[in-house]
Amino acid sequence: MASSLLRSGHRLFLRRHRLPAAFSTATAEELIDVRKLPTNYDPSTFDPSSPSRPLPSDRVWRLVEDVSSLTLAETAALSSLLLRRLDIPSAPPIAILNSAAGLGGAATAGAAGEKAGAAAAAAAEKTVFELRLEGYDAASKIKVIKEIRSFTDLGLKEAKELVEKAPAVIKGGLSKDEAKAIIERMKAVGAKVVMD
Amino acid sequence: TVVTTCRAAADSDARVDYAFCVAELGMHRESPDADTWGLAKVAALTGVNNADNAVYDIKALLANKRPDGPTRAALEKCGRLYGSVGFAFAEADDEINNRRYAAGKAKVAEAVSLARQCDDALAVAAAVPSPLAQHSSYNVRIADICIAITNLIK
Repeated sequence: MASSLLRSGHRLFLRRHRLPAAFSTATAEELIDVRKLPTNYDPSTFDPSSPSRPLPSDRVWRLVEDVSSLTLAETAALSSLLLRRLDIPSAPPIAILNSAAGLGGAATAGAAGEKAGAAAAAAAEKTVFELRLEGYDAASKIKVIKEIRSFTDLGLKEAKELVEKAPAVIKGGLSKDEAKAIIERMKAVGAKVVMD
Repeated sequence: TVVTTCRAAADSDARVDYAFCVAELGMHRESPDADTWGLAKVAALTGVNNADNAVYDIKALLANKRPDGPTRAALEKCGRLYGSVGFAFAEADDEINNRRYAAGKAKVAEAVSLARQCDDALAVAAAVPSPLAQHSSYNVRIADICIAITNLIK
């Protein structure tokens, strides 16, 4: 009955909403709480009697509701902060090939081809790097920990844990120059860091 | 300053060793410019350093001295305990840095308790290697200093 109700295109009501007086008790019992639907819900294939993925937790649903209410600017800020907090490298820029490369005379086509090739080569060159701590002098451990804290948001405990489990990635999403600068600073305090 | 803060700490708590406080906290590069809050963190960091040194010395003892069964077991336990001591002081630093002084002091107290468990383990094994006795004493004294200075933060 619930399945046919969904397929008929009836609106779904959350249980916490007050039902219109026209709804009978029997009908109300058949309404679906959208929060209990699986995350891969598809009306055309949904069978309420079949086993489904674990339901999202209430915490996840609260997050969905909060994020959905953000303005565009707030969403952009959230995205930026999450990338930073989770240490996720940003996507490298994508080169746009010249769509006119195949047109024109041989000389023009050749020149355009060279530009496209150069662009492709530029696109292939890595532009975002991560740093991996390979090892450190035991006597310099505190200095290494403090140096890592200078360019991350880690607390002392987190930084200490990270250092002690070396080799470990200590920073991502860096430009080549930024990465090289940090490598030099870490080398100065007795740590071996490589760029990857 | 280190001198005035250590003086105030010693005056407020008889357990604080003034000379030790000045000597140990004064060595840190952040100390000259640190206020009371900063010095409390320096003290916690010093506790981390001592604990890490203890772990290092324990590993050296295990590798070089080849101790017998009971002593070896005690040292291995101490290695784990001082590892936890280091993290307890690190968490104390984080708590103090976040202005949660009561929680910070609780972590320092935890560090003291953990180190004492090492002393107990060594006592049972009737072994008190010299480096560990020093680290144990240092641990207690730096913890007292850290707590006393944290209490001075306004």
